[in-house]
Amino acid sequence: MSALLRVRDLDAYYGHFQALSGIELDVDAGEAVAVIGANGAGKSTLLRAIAGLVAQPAGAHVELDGVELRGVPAHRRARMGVSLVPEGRKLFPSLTVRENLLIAASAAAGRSRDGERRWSLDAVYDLFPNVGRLRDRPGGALSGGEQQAVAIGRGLMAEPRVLLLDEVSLGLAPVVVEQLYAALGTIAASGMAMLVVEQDVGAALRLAGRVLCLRAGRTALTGAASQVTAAAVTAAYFGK
Amino acid sequence: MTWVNAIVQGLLLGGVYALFACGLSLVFGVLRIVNLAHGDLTVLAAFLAVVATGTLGVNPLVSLVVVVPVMALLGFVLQRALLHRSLQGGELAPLLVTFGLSIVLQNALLQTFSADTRSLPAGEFGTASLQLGDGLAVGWLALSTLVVAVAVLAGLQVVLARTPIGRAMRATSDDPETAALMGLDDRRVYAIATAIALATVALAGVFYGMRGTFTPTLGPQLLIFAFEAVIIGGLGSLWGTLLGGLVLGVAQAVGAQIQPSYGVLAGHLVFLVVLAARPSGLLRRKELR
Repeated sequence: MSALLRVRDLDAYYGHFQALSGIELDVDAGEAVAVIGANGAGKSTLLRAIAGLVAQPAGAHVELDGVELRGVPAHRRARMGVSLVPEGRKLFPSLTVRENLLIAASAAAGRSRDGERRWSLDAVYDLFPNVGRLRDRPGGALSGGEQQAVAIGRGLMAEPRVLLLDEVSLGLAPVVVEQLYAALGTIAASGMAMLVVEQDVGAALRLAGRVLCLRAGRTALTGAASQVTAAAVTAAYFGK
Repeated sequence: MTWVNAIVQGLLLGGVYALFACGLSLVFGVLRIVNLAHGDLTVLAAFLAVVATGTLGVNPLVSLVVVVPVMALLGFVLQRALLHRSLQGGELAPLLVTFGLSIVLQNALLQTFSADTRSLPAGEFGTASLQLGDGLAVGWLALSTLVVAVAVLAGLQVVLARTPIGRAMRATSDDPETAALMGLDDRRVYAIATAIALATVALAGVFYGMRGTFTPTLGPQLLIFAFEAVIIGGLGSLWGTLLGGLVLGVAQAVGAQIQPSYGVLAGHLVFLVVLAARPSGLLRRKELR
């Protein structure tokens, strides 16, 4: 059976700079995969390329459930079920928390009727109770942890088939990261396919079943998270 | 009573300026484009009304049934075919493109309608007035223009604050890339915003044409008034646009009361004072709502 998300020979460029080279990746339905690597390794670029924010060159393949996504713009990928929670959260500052969540629901409008929705405002408020309390606050007036919870909730409101998470723990206190990863564990347990880019290797490996380590835009290590040793990760990170 | 009359007439004049400016404000607020062809599009709407009234033999207000949808459609097509491409070219490109559009429109109107001065026949509605006291009368047409301006701005406010398309416009204005991740097609959102803006331009053109005279080359002057109203009120703030229009109208009317030739100059001076003292405008934009 083909993977839900299938990436083959993926290159990505910023001008003349090649940020990714020949990346291959499968994410099955219900599977969480961690993408780790040092700064500048190409982790965020990988997610942005899958989400359609970075041009996909000829010869590179990104498929969602067997459908080739080359040439499909980001907004249509979102409607097809590719949902990216971007680095830096990127909440809309002029929208309230509730509006930030509702704006993502429109992405799923073509795929699911209200009765079939898995993620509603109430479901997000149940997962992140503080988000419910902050529903009328502007998105730009929240703490980093609150923003991240809203950003994840917003990603879920798009009813994703694959949820892409970029640097969830960036700039957050350890206790907040622990709470967010507890929520991500709940989401993963619900059968959501997830691709998680993370600097906090320990947190990522506890969540994911498989790991992909990038170095200088290339695959340096891949395997089951439970079988990857600290020495192998260190070697993949630094190339020693 | 003379000064009270000047202020009242200034407020009514401000209604016209607010109506001119709301489309400019919306386009800037959502697309971040300063549309230098805004005044010429207003004049185009007035000439469309000339054609509609002449062809169909209807009152200019009835011609709005034709002119508003035509201008809205033009806005949609203009955004999809021209402005969106220019947005990809950096901040300067939309300025150059709308400047070019302004020149093209002026020359096309000159070629089609000649340089003759025109006006739209308002009939008795244009001259009837409401007597409020000794020496103080309010023209029904001027009052209607102000009411329409307030209604349009209030309507836009409701659309932006309470409807899904308004939410989409605010989100796309905040961050188009992240809006795309939410499934929003920025080309469609921008095109709808431009269509709405040009529908308000149609109203402004027809009401202006009923109140005064116009020529194919009047656009840049109207743009300056609209621009001043937007800047005085605060870029991107719809209620600021109304306030800016009223302040500009009162300044011109009071200036004209002092010396008839000072009217426009007084408006420009107030604009410069606001720009120097409060560059972000009287009602600073915190958010597009």
